Amino acid sequence: MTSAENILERPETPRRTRLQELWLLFKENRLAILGLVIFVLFFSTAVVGVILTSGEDPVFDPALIRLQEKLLPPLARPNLETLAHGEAPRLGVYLFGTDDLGRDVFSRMLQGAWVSLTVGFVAVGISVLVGIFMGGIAGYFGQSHIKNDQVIITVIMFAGVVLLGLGKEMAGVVLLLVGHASIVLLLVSKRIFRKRTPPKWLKMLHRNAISLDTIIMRLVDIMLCFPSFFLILTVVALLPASMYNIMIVIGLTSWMGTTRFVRAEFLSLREQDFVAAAKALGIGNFRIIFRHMMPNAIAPVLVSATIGIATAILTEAGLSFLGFGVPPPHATWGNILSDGKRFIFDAPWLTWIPGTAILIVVLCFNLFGEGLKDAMNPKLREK
Amino acid sequence: MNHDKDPLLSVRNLKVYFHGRDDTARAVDGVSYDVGKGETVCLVGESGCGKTVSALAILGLVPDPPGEIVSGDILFKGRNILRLKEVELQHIRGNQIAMVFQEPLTSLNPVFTIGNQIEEAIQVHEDLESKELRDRCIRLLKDVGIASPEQRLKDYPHQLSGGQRQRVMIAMALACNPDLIIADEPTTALDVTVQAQILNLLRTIQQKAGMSILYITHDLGVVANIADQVYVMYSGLIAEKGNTEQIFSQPRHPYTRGLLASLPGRSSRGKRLHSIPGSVPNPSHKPGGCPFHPRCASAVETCQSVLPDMCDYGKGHLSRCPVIYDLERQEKSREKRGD
Amino acid sequence: MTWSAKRKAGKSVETDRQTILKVEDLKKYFPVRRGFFQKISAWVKAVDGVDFSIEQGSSLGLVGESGCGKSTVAKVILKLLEPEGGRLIFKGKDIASFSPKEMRPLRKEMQIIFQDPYSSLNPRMTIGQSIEEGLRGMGLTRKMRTDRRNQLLEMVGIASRAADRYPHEFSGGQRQRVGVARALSVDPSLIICDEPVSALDVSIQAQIINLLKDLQEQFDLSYLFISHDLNVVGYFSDRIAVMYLGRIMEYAEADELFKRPLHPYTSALLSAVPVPDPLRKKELTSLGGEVPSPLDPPPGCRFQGRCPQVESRCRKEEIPLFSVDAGHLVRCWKTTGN
Repeated sequence: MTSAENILERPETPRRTRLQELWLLFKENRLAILGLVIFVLFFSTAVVGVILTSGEDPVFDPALIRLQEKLLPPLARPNLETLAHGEAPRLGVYLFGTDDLGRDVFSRMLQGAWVSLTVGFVAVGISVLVGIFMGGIAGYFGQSHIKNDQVIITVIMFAGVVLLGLGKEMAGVVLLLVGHASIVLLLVSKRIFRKRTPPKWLKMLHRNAISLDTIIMRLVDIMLCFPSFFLILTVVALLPASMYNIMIVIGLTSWMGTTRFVRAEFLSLREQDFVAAAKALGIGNFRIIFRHMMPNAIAPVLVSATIGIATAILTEAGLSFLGFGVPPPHATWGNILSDGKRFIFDAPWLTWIPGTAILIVVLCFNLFGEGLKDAMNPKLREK
Repeated sequence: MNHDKDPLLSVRNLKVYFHGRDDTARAVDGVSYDVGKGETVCLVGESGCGKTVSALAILGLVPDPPGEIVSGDILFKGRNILRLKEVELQHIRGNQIAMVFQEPLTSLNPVFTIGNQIEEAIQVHEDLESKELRDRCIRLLKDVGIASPEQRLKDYPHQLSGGQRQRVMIAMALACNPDLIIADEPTTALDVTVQAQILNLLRTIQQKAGMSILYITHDLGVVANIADQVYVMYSGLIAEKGNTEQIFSQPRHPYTRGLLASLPGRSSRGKRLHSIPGSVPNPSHKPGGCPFHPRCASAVETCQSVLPDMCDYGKGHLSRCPVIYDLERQEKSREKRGD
Repeated sequence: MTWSAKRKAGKSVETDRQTILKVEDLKKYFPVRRGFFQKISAWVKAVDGVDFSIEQGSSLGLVGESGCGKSTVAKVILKLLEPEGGRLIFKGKDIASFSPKEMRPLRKEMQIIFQDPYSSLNPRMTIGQSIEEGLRGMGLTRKMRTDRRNQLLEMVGIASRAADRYPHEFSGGQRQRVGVARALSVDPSLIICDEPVSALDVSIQAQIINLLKDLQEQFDLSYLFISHDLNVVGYFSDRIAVMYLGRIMEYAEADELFKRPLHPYTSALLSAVPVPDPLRKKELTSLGGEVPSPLDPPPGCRFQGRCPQVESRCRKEEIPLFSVDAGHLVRCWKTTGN
């Protein structure tokens, strides 16, 4: 039919995916490449490190206490006469020295790398997941309101559960029954009053109370009011100490930035024609949010995620430094810093070795994130 | 309309290339046109043909890098302005050659009042006292048809409508009585009734002040309405040149013919629209020979390899298609023999 | 043979074709909220009582300048926006008050093509994926979907091997074709074209217009063709409705409208359009002023601010649509001799 007027031309233009173009732009930023290289090194160190330092008889033992060898500077030779068999360091020297319990700092650093990596990624992973969910809902459903009746029923049910939890079974069960009954009544009344006009009090119940956007954004505001480090500190102090708790807590207290980014992107994406086209095709809301709109909103999230990893690592180090981090004898870089603070003049390597490591890793993530942001920017401008 | 020997503006064999990462876009590839005193010249073409870039080159506004003026001359009042230094160019910009852009929304600075912006346009080139300045601004606004100009001076761009903003742009362009106004699609973003107002305004101003207009557009209707001379551009080259009568009644380039035939209108109702197959070539990967040949129904072998020169039909009508030229010559000689 | 094909061939056409869409007194207002409590201080009456109907297989042109509400009408018909009032009768059913759930089965019957070829396709999905989205949930296997997608691409003139490319690799005209393919994918009866060629070059415009016409013949499609370009609308449509500030000012067969424009606004529009014919060079009749804001319009005729023939009556009373001839309606006192 229209074959003469058709067909994809430009066979000469090299077929480049967006990823390839992104890479080309990224490559030109020397510092960003440096960040990437350091990241790769860090990642491999951490993975290798955890393998080499775990198990019954690890290659590098971070927990082996040799009081006779305590506080040796880096590159010090072990005093082989005082050591039992198998207690000597694998490499022949104490590469990073020993701490106040004679533990090999190098092994501890290897073990700690893994903690930093995991905490960084998992915490950020959680925060990103929560963030895009909240941001997507807030941005897309913006003006959808929760009605008065829904609020009342939610409050009743919630109160019922709380009472149950507090042990007041009778009151709790009564409230829950009331809640369920109200739901049934509501549905019935909706059917009855389809054709006729409902009475005034029923209309009041159906009125808008508050919009989803408002709920979520005010929640964000509330969370932002808390100084995050102290919030984390408090929660961690109340919970049993474990690496997983720390990761979850950091993740659940840092989703707010992502939410705002995603919501902002969604507000502008919502007006784009392709979203209207998807709605016109009859595609469901959640598919539109997560399959159609989210890939377009992800760019700023990626950038803030990489920088968020740096922040998470710093937070974990801080927590460990204060003694609220991963419990001993498991080593983390913050732990080593903490142990070293008492010997800062006698054994300064206990401070500046983990300190430098943290610095380098955080720097690398920052550079990488900035590089990503710069590489993505001209693309965003491209039509 | 003056048919001076020396045109006010003469673009000669201009070539402007843009250097990309792996390729070079030949946006303007050997373009020549003249604008005489008091003349309205229209540069017509579709997107990507290079008309805007050639206009930017006149005022030295082509970003360098990635753009580069590879060769050619631009003579304004006899001087080659491509050779001028930035300082000297600034003396010409706004003062002798002024430009009106397409988007009135973004062409005006949103944080300054209209009055401020017009005053600035004047103050850069002339030294006036503040009362004189203000009076000139009011007079300019009145000339472009803005009601209650004294009040409008204090308004910000967002308080004005699209048509009013474009009038302000024209007022700024007129501020120093330039010899030439370059208008780059000034009415494309406006409603058709407002477009009619602006076109009438430009015509009035031109008649009063006797200045030249270089009008860039893709709308052939506008061209028919205001142009004295028309240059049809395609893929960085001039395809055809002539006055409006010649171009519309006797187009002699397949592209011009195709464009005119594909215009929808009441007259074509019920008939299938003629359309030019294919699409505009990528400026980085142009076909060899005549850039139009892949889409041309009249193309022959040589069109694929040889870039033709302009063929002269007399009375200022030129066309870059030797195929049609030869055909017409054969027709003429056949007629002569037949008589 | 489809209706439009018959019409073209000059065969007699059944006069009572099914009316696929009938719009009666359609209203869409947007509230303007001020103050701390977000109280409603004014209403933007974007669509304020619009009437028209489209017969199956025909094209209705909706023409007007910026701010007249034509794009809003498109969104309301598709129920992407809820109307404040009026009736929206699609294939005999009044869908104005249909809930999203009730609309779901009807969505596939009416589709839309947008103006901006750059924002109408999801930049993160290949064009193949964009087209296949509509085919989900229709109970097709993977292969059937792929086949249908390829068939649609070829139908609109794009090689099917290009299905795994992204929108930014195509030109504006090609993207517009993809938009058409997407709209066709669900077998609609009505397609709303919202300025489908305004952002395209002239030579590409003709290609797309031809494509739309061919598809109409092939599939007996009905079109609501929205545009500000009178030339394109005049070519494309069977009937034309002229819209100004949320109301229909004139409504007639296309030929009749151009021959005998009765509303002052229609005449102004027609005379303001520059014709590409130098022999008809004229001082374009310019209508003074600009389109006012649809914010709390004054009572009476919407056109009172710019009408060259305005009277005091026009400022007070609401004017109904008068029927002048068979099928020619005008909303004006003067020109209909009332």
